[in-house]
Amino acid sequence: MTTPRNKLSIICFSGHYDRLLAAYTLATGAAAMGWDVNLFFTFWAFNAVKRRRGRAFLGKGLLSRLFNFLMGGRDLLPLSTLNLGGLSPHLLRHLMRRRHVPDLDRLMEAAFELGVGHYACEMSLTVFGMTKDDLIPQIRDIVGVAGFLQKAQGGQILFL
Amino acid sequence: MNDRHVLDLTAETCPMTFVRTKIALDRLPPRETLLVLVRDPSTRDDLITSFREHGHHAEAVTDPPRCPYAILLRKTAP
Repeated sequence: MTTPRNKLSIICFSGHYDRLLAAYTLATGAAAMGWDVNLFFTFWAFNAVKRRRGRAFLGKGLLSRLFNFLMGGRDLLPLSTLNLGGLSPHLLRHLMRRRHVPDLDRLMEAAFELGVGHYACEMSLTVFGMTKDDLIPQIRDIVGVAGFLQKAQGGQILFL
Repeated sequence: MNDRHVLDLTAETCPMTFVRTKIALDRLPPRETLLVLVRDPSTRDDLITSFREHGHHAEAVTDPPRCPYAILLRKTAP
């Protein structure tokens, strides 16, 4: 009989760069230690997994398109504190590069390679008027709460 | 010792030390060895503990206190 693998499921709700960095640090660390890891993207965290990295009029309907444009994408993620009008994320990335700390892009690439499961919230996708094609191809599936809980069953769940 | 596979992680920090070691080990055929170089002894000890837990052979091959700290990993057969 084989021992079941440890499992970690992270609900990525925040669209803040530092919180997403924490989510991916945990996800990649756990996956490297052989854990089964799932990331579930909802609401503002969609900005990290949009196919378009900058501002783009995505989605159906004027309001959705405007909303998506204002939210931006992965290149425009703010910090949760001391954002300083968008200046701080650049400073933080500069510091991280200087000190050889992996940035979000690098952690995401590692997560893809380690087979971390990426899922998007069906309800948020509907609210923002987007389709799966508006998200990065690594999103395995669009799931509702029941689908997510099924994938997370038997493991630990974190909300970030 | 087979020293063909060397992974220098002295410029890396957590979690990339774990991530890159895992990816490199996954790509190795069973029973091949991988020499991993890290910058600090706590990373070395964490890597040894973790990869032993997964059934691989893992040992420190240099005595402290010398940087880089080296770990010899041997991938177990599946």
